[in-house]
Amino acid sequence: MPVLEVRDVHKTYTLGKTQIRALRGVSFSVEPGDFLSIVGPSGCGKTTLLNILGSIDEPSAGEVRIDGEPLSGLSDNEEADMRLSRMGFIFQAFNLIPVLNILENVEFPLILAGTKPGERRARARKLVEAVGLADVATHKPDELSGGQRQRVAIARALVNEPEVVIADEPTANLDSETGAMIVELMQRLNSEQKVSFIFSTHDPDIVQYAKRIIRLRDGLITQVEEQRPAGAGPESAGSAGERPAGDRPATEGPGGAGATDEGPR
Amino acid sequence: MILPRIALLNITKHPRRTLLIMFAVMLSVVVMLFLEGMLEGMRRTFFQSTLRDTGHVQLHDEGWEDRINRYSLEHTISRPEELLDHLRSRREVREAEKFLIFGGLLIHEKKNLSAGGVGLEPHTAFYTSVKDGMVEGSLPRGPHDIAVSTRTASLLDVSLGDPLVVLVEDSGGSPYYIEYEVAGLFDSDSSQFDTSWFFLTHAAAEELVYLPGETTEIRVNLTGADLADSVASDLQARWSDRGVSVQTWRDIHGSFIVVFELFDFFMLFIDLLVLIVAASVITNAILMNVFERTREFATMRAIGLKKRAQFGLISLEGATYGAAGTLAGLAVGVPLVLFFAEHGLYMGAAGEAFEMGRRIYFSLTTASVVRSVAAGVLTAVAGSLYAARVLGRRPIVEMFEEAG
Repeated sequence: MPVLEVRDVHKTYTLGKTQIRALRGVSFSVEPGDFLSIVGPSGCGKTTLLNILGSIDEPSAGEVRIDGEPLSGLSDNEEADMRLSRMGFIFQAFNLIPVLNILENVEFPLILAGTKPGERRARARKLVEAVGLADVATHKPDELSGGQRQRVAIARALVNEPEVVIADEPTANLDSETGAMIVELMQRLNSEQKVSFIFSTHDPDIVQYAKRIIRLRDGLITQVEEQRPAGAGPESAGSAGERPAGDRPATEGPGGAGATDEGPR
Repeated sequence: MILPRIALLNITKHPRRTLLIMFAVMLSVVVMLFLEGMLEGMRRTFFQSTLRDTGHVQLHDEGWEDRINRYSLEHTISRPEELLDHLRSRREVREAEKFLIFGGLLIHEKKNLSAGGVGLEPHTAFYTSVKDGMVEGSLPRGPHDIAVSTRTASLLDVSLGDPLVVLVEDSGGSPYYIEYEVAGLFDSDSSQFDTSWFFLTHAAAEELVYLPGETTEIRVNLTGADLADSVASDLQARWSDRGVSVQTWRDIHGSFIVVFELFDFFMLFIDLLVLIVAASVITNAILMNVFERTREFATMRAIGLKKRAQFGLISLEGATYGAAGTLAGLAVGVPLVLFFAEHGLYMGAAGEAFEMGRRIYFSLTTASVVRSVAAGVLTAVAGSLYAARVLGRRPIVEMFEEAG
């Protein structure tokens, strides 16, 4: 069963008398262990789509299901519980809580979930170590570099063992080398922990790491591609700096513009 | 415990804003304590001093209230000792004394001053401000003693031991005078009172105005002001056939009581004004504090923080500001009120207008402290609740958009 299903999602914003159609019928699904990149130029609807997937925004029409259960109709508290227990978020601007130290930031979702102190501290430590920040665990976010902060955000997103992690341009505020390291870290955690990742980007170097790519343009899916991701397999294992060049098999979505991997609606 | 920790850390993160909010709370608490302390002091001075001098109940001859001349000797009480014997035998009565009030002209050499004369018992329990303000000598004890204020003495150029003539129109309408010796000089802390009254013994006054065995009024202090109505109605029923009219302190000081009641409203209005100003400063500062952290709140909500927890977090910050500001307010306000309770606040003619002397002595009550504490904390909490409500109504996505 797909972790996430997106069925004919539309999103229209009204600005004064002008209606802006940010999404115009988007459908796709995310499978367990997926490493999916949503790609497109600025304003194509990537962030809107991710916000809807993360249940922090509502579609104007259409439906999003998580494990077959529709997100629509959930109360505020149910949505908060669902985001807490089944989703992880990574933001472009890292969005760490500035007054808490690194370990506390990672621990925060576990506190909200009511996890026992001993267990939550152990889990947070394990993840902080996993993202390579054990030596700065007691530092405040403003004492870390951008890459380090994003690694904290990744640890925080994974600490509640979610089914899916949603990352909105996680490398946009980082230099290309650090960005690649972050995506490699996400990729490693994706394969180790079998957590689905959906991330948006417009950086072609980052896109290479995705198993699947959904290309968005003007609120429509124009292409769905599957590829052998960079960093996967024995020939490219390990290094952050090794990024294979661009030619990858691309799969034209059925029906072309506006089509999805589930076919036109 | 993470939310209280976040609240506390955020409070310490912006020391300037925290100080501004705490200062607003502190100032409102100090102003409320000050105003309430002053009002309570005025009220206490009025009840303790003025009531103690005029009594809770006064007895006069019928028609005394309608007299044209305030020093009229037409309305007198005969055989006052009979009434006093009864009054002093009652459990509710603490003190009962007769007073002979008359008008006269004080003359020394070529200077003279028109004033009211009071004939009283040598060891009177009344006129505490005069007794306490005795600068030289004492209240009159002998038939030739007179006590005047230092201000009157200065106007007439007399000193202790000097002769002073009192000229009156006696009860028969004839002019009559007696020369006395200045036996006491006082300063009651009210210049108006000081130049308006002089004191003789009751016996000397009876002789001067030719009212042997009579008096113009009897003043009664009760064990409690609230007993005045029941005692007065009992006395009125008992002595109506003797032509005695009984007034309570409410009848005597009606105008002052109305002023005090108006003062209560005025102070309530001032308190509200203080709270509104404080609330707007606090609310704006907390709003600024909260909206500066929109991204932080949006992130916490996206991660799974519930709206009510966000509400709780912001309210907790407000309550902490309120509690800290209130403590600071108490630390400043209580010593301030206690200082003015000890030394008084110079009010000049304004204080005298309310017959409370030139200085108003404040009073600190538990009720005023509780009210100020409640107002301080609640104002900050209300400000933060408003901010929490405003933020709580925003969808997460809007919060992120706003944060940029």
